[in-house]
Amino acid sequence: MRQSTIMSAKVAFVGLGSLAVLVAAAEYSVDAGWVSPFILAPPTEIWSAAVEIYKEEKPFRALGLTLGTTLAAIVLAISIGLPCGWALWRYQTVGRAYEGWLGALFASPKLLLYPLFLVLLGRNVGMLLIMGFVTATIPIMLKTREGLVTVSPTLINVGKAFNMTEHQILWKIMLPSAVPIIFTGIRLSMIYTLISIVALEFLLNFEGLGGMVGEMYDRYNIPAMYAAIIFVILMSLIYFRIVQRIQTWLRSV
Amino acid sequence: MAGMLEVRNLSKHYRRDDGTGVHAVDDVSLSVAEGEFVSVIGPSGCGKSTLFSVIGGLVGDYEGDVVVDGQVVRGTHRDIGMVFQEESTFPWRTTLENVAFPLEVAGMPKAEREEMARRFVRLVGLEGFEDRYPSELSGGMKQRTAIARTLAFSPKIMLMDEPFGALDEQTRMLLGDKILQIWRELKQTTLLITHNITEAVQLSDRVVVMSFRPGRIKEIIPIDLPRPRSSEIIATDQFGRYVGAIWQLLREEASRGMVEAENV
Repeated sequence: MRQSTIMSAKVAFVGLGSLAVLVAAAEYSVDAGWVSPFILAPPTEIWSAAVEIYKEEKPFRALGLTLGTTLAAIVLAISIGLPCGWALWRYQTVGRAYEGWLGALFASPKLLLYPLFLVLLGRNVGMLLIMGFVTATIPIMLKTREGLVTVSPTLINVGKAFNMTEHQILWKIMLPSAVPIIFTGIRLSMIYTLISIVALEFLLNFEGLGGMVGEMYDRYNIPAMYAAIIFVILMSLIYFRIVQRIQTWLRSV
Repeated sequence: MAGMLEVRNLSKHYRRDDGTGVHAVDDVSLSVAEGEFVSVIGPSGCGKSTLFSVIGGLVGDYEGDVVVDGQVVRGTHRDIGMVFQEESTFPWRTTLENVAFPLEVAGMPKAEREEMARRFVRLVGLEGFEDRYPSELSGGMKQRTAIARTLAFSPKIMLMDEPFGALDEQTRMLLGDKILQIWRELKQTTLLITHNITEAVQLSDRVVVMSFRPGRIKEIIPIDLPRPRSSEIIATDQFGRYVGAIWQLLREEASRGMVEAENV
């Protein structure tokens, strides 16, 4: 226990220390004139801009909108993607037939479809949500199938030996066993969905963090643009912590 | 005397992916009396694991019958508890949660099942490790967890497929002692599948020697060694004679298996 506390302290020190060095280097390189302030804003100015945004631009509304849209897209994707992933595992022929197609679709930049969705659904939160959902569902489907396919046959036999029904084996053995891989899918979907939604907000000059970054960029307010980007990074951090907690909790249930 | 477990004229054919057939087990009949400890030993490829899967109900489509306590059974059965050769503990559950698993599935209230699971954890000598996850346990401890979990299922028959196959010889000997102690306490009817002669003689009342493919019973050797036993018995002349006799029977079969494996 003591050992692990020391290790955690070391990890935190290295992480925060590197960040501090990076911030100091950025500050110094702009001050010394090595890097143009139109490319890299000094961290002190970014901080002032962040405080300014906090006071005037109401970043929590933007944060809330982006976070809310992304979360809604993920929740929708989980509720559809998990059963679809299960079906791809359960019906092997279908699973094998679709795996390649889904993989290709996953790798393709679905963001390019945005003009189509814009025409179909209009410039609104619903359109962002649907595009986020399309992006998020595929990795969840693929990873749910992969997670179920890779469950050890011995663990399934343990369930059979205990006279468990197929339904019990799925809930009590297969899903807990597949949780790490399914969560890899959820994490992937979170990354891509967040990128999609922030990029769409940026492209469409919509509200939300992406829109905020775009606005600062349009105003040539470079420190504020970086400050807005930092808000996006902070949001991803909070997001990942939440998913980690859920994963740990789910396995213990 | 009718056995608690009987296998009658069991034969099993497999079809390989390339279309060729394998005659894994041929006309095997054996009986295990209530409270008896019987081992099935044979070379690799003698159909031991097939026999395990058929008796446990994991494999169907065979000829012959599996009879438990006078009733012909097909498929998995409440009275047969299985311990597997491969890693079979649930990595997301602690030792206690693993052992309590069959009780949880049966709908037993939490406090009751935990109390019962603790009893079996103690029985296999894992007291103090109740809250550890399998990743924190040694191979032998994981297998003891699996054995405790099967015991908690309260089967009439314990069916074990080389549960110590992946362990080193010394750990295997010590776990053999643990199995003997549990067997003494519970008088559990046990069928052990193994390829280890020492283990078979150390633990069993009778040893069933199988031939190489197709697996047939070559001979059944009663082990007339005094009980209660421990691993110390391996130092006796009588033990050595049993090991020698079984090896004589197995040697030819093992050679056939080796030749076939080299010719593949």
